[in-house]
Amino acid sequence: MSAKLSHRYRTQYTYLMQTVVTILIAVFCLTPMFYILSTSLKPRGAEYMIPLELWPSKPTLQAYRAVLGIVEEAELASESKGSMVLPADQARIVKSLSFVTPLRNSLIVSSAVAAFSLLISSLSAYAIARLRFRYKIQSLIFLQLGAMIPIAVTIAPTFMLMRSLGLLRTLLAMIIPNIFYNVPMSTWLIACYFAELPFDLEDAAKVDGYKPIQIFWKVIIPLAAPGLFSAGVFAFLGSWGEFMLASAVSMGIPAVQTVPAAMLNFSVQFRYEWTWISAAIILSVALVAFMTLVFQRWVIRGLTAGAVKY
Amino acid sequence: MAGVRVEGLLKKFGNVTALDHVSLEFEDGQLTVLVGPSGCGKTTLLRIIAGLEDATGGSVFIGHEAVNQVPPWERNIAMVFQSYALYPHMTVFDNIAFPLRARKISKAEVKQRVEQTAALLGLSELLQRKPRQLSGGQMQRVALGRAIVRKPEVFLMDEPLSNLDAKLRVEMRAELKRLQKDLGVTTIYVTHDQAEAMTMADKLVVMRGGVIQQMGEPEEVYSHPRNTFVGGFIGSPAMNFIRCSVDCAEAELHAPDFQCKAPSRFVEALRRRGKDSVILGVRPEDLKVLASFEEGAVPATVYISEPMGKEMLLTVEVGGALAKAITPTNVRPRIGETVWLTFDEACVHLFDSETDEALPTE
Repeated sequence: MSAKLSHRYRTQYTYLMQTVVTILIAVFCLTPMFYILSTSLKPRGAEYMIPLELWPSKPTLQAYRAVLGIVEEAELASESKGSMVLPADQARIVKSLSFVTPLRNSLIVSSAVAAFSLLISSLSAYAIARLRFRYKIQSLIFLQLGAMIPIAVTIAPTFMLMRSLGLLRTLLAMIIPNIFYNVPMSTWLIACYFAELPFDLEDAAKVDGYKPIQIFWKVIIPLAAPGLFSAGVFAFLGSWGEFMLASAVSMGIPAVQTVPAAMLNFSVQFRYEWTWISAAIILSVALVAFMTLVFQRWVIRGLTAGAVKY
Repeated sequence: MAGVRVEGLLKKFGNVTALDHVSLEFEDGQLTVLVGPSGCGKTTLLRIIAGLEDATGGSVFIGHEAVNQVPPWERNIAMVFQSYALYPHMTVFDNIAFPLRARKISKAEVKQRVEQTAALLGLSELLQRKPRQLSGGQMQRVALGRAIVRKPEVFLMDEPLSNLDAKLRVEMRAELKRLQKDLGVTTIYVTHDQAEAMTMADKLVVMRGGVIQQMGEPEEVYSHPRNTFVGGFIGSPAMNFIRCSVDCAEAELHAPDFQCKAPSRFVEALRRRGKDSVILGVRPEDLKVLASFEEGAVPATVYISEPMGKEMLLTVEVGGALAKAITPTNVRPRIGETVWLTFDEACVHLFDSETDEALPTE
């Protein structure tokens, strides 16, 4: 009896401790995010008020409007009495630094990277998972070696390559290299998925009258959709957060900057405007956070494919 | 419709020879069963005919056309797989329609033919389901439907019933045979189950180690096995083999525990052969079990008895080896009891003790 009780007590204690530790970690990770969110909702200047407000008493979307470039001169003038910069100039600067362009650029870059790396890696994954050819293992290792080289090391050569291709200051200079950064990982993920599909399906489709490339599109791809999807999400998130290459090849031109590169500019330009910086951060994180929350189950399924039979 | 012919077919996987110069004709409209233990090359032969595997040597003809260089999607064949290989992301309708769509057949005709096939196989109510919502038997029917919907020249079936439970398997066996007769399409059927092979085949081909052991009508193969392997493989329970020494002068066979007259039809062959040992083969259903001694009966000790409903399977120890006999259920000897075995000499098979080949008869 007492043994039973103490066992139950211990189980409850373990459960309690696990919960406490989990909450502590979550608080530790989320506090900065929470404070950024709270700051982004404060009116301009309120972030300096003492005592510090944990949550704004009157939340406003002012900072978001400013960051997205939808501000009026008058609004700025009334806010920035005593500022060295004229309201008109300030409005112009804000508009030029508006976060709409970087968000749009990032969306283009990330979507293109996801789409093209999926296209390439689904084909290479098919070869690795399904075909018999010489030097297969070697080529797989070679492919993965490519993924092990830190991007920082390749920045300079990539930059020169893009320059000689005349692609500097264009989104293509971000899209093309990012595709190849993502191909090894995507190939690996998708190949694990392909490897699980029974060979009989392909054989059946062959005698049913389909050529291999048709079988690839009509049978293999639909069945590997979860794997393709998680590989796509990875590629998207990876290139969304990519900073070094993006800031190098965009060369400070706002029209071709992605979110991480624009973020740097923005925080230098408006280093005292914490509400604006916070709003920009929230905007740049919102999409990926949303994607992660919605698709996390699929992504995890994709990552664990091939690990266990289920 | 067309017959299929393979000539000198050789297939090697590395150092392993899966098919060793196999030549065989599958007649037009017939159901030919390839049977043998796993690894005997029967599935490999089927896959080569389908074009899913390249032969190392030899040729395959469908009708009069050599198809070695024709890819599977251009051979007009249909195949049913052991795993059914239904496309999991498609409905039953789309699964059956899939081969038709490859042939650019009009939508209306696809619909009509799929519905006709579904009705034939009792699948009409299931057309909108996905494979995972079907039972094993239903999946089997869908796989069949996908094969017959396109009216191929040849059906290839790779152990299509082996994933079904025993009862359903026997049902489907009869249904499949009837379907094949109705459609009259040349069918090559692979199985490792000798009962399935016997019941379904117009022509039976027994294989082992990539070599054809014997082919012929099932009754012929059953009653005149060409070697001990065929004798042991076809028929259930398997044929009993007893090694005997030969007394040519007396035309007698001597087993450790008993002796018997050599059947007269073998006497000439035994004499001509001049060897002093032979393998005696008797099928369990040809062994008669007696409770008391009779002239010429052989003593045996009951090892175990297995009632099977309408008959009893008796395992007895005779001449230091175990033998099986099928007896009526009214004979119920206990374990360890002595019984007496007799057999009709007309049912006896004799095999060469070195080559395992059947001895020729007069």
